Amino acid sequence: MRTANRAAKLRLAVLLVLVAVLCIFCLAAPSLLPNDPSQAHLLAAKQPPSTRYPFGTDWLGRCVCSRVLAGASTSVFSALTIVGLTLAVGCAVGIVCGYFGGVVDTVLMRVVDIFLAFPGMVLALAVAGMLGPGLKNAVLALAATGWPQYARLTRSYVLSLRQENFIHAARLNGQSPASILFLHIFPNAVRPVLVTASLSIGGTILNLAGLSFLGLGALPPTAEWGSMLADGRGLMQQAPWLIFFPGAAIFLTSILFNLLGDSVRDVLDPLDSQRKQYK
Amino acid sequence: MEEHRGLLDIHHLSARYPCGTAVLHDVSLHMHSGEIVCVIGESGCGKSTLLRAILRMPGKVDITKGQILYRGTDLCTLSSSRLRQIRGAGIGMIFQEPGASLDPIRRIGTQFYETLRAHGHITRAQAEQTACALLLRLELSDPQRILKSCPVQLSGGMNQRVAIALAMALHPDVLLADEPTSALDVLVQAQIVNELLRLRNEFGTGILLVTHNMGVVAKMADKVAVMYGGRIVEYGYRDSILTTPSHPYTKALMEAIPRLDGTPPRGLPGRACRKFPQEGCAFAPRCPHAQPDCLSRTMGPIPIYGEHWTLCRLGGAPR
Repeated sequence: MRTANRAAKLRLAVLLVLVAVLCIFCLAAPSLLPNDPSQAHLLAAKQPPSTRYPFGTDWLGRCVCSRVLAGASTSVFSALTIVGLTLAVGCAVGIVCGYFGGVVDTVLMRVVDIFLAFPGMVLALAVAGMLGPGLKNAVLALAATGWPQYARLTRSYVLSLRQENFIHAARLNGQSPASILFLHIFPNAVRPVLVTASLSIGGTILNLAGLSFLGLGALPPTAEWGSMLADGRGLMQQAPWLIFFPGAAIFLTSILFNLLGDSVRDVLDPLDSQRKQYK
Repeated sequence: MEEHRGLLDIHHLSARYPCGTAVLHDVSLHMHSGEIVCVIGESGCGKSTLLRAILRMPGKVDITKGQILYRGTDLCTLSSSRLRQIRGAGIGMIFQEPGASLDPIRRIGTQFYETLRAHGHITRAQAEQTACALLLRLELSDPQRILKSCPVQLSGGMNQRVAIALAMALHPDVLLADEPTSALDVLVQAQIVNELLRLRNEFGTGILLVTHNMGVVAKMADKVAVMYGGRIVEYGYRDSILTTPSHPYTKALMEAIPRLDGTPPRGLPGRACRKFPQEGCAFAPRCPHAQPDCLSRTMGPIPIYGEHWTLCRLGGAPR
């Protein structure tokens, strides 16, 4: 078990380094741009990849490479913000509902039911539509529709934890409700939820790209992968590099975060790794 | 008639499960400092429930009648913050599966520290020292490594000993132990029995021990309470119960113990009682000496000798 655990930890470490590199890259991107991402050169429109424009140019002659690089920070950090927000709100609601129960639980869970009754993307579209287009609003819309899932999940973990002997034992050892909540319930409940969250980062990047694709995300001329994909769609046959490079960026980033999620699960979920040990 | 000066006095305790099923009827038990009371009886007779009721385990048992006095304070009416002070430091508990009473994802050392800190100021180093000493006494080598591990990384038996050490760490006046040795091999069992005895001798801890192991009873108990159908049916000093059992159920229990001399153990016909009647003798349907009115008779303790009493009116009769 020790060695298996070490391999999983090593994998997580490698992926974390990769994610860190990605984040540093996103932060450093503005100084790495070969060209100005929003500078139009109509004379150089729709050029295929070349040494001057490594990823080619779009219909306005803007450098696709620069735009993909500039869009990286928008996409990645927005996705992380969304997941962070949903995780914080969802966990808080779930723990309150699960631990205290009663009227609070009933009311909040019915709200959650209402949210969960709609397909997530449709609801996000509606919220984004109400708030108006814009990156900040898209983030808010996705966060507002994402938390109920986490609330449900956290609540169910807290409910089963409350029945565990070690919670009773902590209570019978004289620990206060606050310390039981923060030292035992929270860390135990948050781990599996954290795994779900890390698995959903990739999906969130796609959702954000989807909203932008539909025109409710980042506003032009802000570079964002989803909106670049949407804009390039009409020129797919004349200038395939317009959708290939942002698409590849979304693909690679989602894969990276999905692998990270898997790896986090292997390391953080002790029961799961215990099960593997017995196989 | 009843004394109130004991360490733990339970007076006429009745309790039921939250679903409404009555489990305990008129249970009275008295324990002094440094006394070990063993509760025996078959599975499902209410032994564990009695322990849970004493600590007022929320959502598990509701006390409907009676008093539980800890040093004269009634636990049933205590506020939750006062109760919290008593739990752990005053009355400690070892669970039936002690391993499950450890938080699976936190290091053992941290759990010791938190438990100790809940009852007074203590530094991490002090907590570690206390924990190491206790773990060593329970035959766990390399306590440093154990303190750094999570329960998942230890074996079941190790976890069980760790949990027992955790319950002992606060030196409670009363220790409630629910079959603490059930999953351990005999050598470790012996070690834990010795450790519990040492705890009693050094600190005057009163121990209420639920067990199925008659060997443990014979070695440890000062007094024995035999439970059947949610009542204590016979109560008294160990020797008088083990040598001259008077309730038919106690006699049946003694005859069911496997012996080395070749006599086959005798089982008891019939099934364990599922309904815990309010009136009459719960054991009557299985009792070889039952009389027609046993099922309806109001029962009260019948003294035999000293503190030894039985609920059965045939109890005093010679075998």
